[in-house]
Amino acid sequence: MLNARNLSVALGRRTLIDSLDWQVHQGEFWCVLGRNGAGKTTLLHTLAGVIPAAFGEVRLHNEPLQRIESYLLARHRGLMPQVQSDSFGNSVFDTVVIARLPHRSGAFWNSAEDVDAVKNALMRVGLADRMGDSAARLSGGERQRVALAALLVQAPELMLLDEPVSHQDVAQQLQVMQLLRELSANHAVISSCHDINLARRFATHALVLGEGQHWLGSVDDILVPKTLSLAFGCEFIQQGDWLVPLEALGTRAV
Amino acid sequence: MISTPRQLIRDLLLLSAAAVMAIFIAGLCGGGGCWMPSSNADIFWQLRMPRALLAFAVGGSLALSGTLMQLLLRNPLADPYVLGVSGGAAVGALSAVWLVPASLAAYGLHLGSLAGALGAIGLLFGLAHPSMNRAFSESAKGSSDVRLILTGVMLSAGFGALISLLFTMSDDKNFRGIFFWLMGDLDANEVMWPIWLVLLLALVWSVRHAAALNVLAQGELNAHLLGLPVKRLRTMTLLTASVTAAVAVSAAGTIGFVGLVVPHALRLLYGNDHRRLLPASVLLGGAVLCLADLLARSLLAPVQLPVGVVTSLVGVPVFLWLLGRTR
Repeated sequence: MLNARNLSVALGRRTLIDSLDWQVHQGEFWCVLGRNGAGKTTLLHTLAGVIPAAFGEVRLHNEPLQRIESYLLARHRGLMPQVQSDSFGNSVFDTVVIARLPHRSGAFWNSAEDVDAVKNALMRVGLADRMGDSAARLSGGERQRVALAALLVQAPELMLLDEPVSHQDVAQQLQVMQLLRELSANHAVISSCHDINLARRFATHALVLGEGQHWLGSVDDILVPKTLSLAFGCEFIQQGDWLVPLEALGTRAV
Repeated sequence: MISTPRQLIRDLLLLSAAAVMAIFIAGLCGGGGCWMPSSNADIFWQLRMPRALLAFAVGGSLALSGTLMQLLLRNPLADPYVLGVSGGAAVGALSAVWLVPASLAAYGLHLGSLAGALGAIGLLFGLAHPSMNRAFSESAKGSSDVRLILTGVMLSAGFGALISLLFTMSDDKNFRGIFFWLMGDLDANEVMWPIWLVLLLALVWSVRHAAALNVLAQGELNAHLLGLPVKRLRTMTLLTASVTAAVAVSAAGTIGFVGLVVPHALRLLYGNDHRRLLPASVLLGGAVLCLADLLARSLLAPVQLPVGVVTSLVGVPVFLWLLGRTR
């Protein structure tokens, strides 16, 4: 579905990711891991077509991203951003229903389908009873799940998520990861993650970004102590099923 | 708040009735009380009615422009003048009077202020162009809105200095007339069609795009991800809001607070669905300015107060009250 060829991602003049060749298919759940500032968000924004690639190209169903009309692109790929903004006191329902735009084909009013889709999505993220509340007054974790519900109603084939569990409590982290795992049956899911063990447990594949290099493949091949210590610059040991970071090897030791 | 077609029709009917009532009350009443139009037909048709209609169009324009500016800058406390339109209009009006003193009496004042306001918009577009085209991931953090606001604030500051300069150079005779006009003057002896035309066009454009504007209000990044042509939509919103404000200012001077308080109050009352908010702000803004003008004419009759003084005196406490209620 998604195909990156010789892709380079840069922020300003700094090249973050160099010559990435990557294919993502339906049925896969990818976790993108890496240090702060390694380029996870910039990569997701490039894959979503929000910013152009510094070099190389991204294709969706074999069509270069730049050549797809933006209203069509909105039906095929969605991104849940890292930060949500609520400038006006919109309700949870209003915040989520906005994401139905690509399916409304210009209709002025919300259809019954729109309303059902929103209710259904809020149920899946455990916020069915908060529909009328102001989105700005929710807790950080709840607000983040409202954004996830918005991605669900947009229902694109390619779902990109920027740190979807960063504000979630332990139980919700499991729930959200489980939901993403279920979604990956019918979609392609790419999410930036910080928790290596959650990624090992729920994701099928991993892309690890180090300084100037990257590793990609199935989670069992990639999320191993050797790769991780190269990427993160701290030592890892394996204890049973768990990978435990031990101590920092000194900053920028890679 | 979920709004439905039925709610929209009900609210708009209610507000339309209120607006028609406000126009007629403003038309029939004055410092000496209220009459039926039959007893004083000339005053009604040639003086009061054009004035009430102008007040309605100006109030509606300012409120519509304020709603759009709040949406564009994603700040519920923005008003039509926040980007320097009023300053430009004042500089234009003062320059017209300074260059051709006779223009104070004729249309020169209106034309000068229209030229000034449109000039200010042109300057704003020129300066803000780079920030309108910034990458979306940067603007996700609000930097492009902030740049636009700062550009507008700087323009206003520059116009403020020019206004002072022109005042020091102007004749004492003209001073009072211009000053009164700047504070809002709804004198009219015929219906001003151009302002109605602009208001109607702006309203039609905004209602047609209201569903898209709702998405834009959730931030540029979201709007872009959902497939909207964000740059074009933002540019058109800014153009619609500023031209509407410019025409209103050139017709009646810089009347404050209508464009801030009316949209803000409606947001609290109706929520932020722009499909409902945009037509409602025109109706309520128009009705409010009709009644404010009635107060300005009759409070200290036969002395006429500038209507801007009334809107500010009422608007400041109302706004502070709304502010205290929300946060």
